Amino acid sequence: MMHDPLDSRTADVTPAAAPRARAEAEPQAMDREVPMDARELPNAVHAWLDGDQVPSVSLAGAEREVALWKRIGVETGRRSRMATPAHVPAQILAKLADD
Amino acid sequence: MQRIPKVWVGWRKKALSATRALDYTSVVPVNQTEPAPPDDLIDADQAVIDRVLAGDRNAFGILIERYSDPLYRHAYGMTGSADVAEDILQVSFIKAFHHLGEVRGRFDAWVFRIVANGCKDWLKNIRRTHLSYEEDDQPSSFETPEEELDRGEMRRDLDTALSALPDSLREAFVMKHVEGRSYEEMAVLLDATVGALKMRVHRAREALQKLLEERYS
Repeated sequence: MMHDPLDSRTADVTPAAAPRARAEAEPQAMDREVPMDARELPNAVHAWLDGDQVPSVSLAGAEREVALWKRIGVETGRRSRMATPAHVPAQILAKLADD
Repeated sequence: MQRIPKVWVGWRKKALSATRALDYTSVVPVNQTEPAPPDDLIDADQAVIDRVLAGDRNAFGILIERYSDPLYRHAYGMTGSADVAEDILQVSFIKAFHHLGEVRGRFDAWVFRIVANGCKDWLKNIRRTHLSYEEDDQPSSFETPEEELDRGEMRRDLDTALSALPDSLREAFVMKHVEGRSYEEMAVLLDATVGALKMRVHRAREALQKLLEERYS
């Protein structure tokens, strides 16, 4: 299982509470695993994905990675244009009025 | 032991249409930086908060209008569900309203943390109860049925791949690539260093690359 040491909320678990927290976390194991032998992406691809100016020659040899990330970029781009459904703000204000 | 998540077992290979020619000069804009609010907007937020605290409840709608979209995208990116994202947004803004007097500093960073914690709580609960959550209620915006099928699969596959990541990696990836935030902005919102966040995004990319490349290469 890939532990998440970066989550400050889980990192705050005290030693006394840790066994219980571990026991509660057990059932999720199967859905939380990712392969650990992930091949490193070339630095040029990371730089390109970070929005840096990267000369074409630096990406030579990483055509497969670039092609995949272009496809992923289409989907993340679609998500980045998502807007809150129009009824949600009104619903929130209506609930506040009921309080 | 290294194991592949069961959600990946059984994936069928799909022959993809011709590989798109690479054009490095016109890449898909994976990263579009969303600027941090300027000082005058932060002051404007405080002015609205003062109005709400003085009894003008409707003024809270200004804050909802101003910040709901990036927060909705965060919740959707973290949960993969439009319905859940809506619920988290509602609960978070209602909680923010009731604790508005506790805001110190930037309202947008404060309310972001409420939403981010709401997402993590939801993820923790849904994993604990072993619920399988799938939905397909997003409106179509594709030009042809073939394009819709192709991109619809990527949408589901990306959701599945993101769900296999630890929360902190998924969070960093979504903030960078879906919300389009700069590393500096992420550092403020997550109270982490730029270097640590770059590392999280890099690890998330490499895990996603590994999970998706067999299917899409």
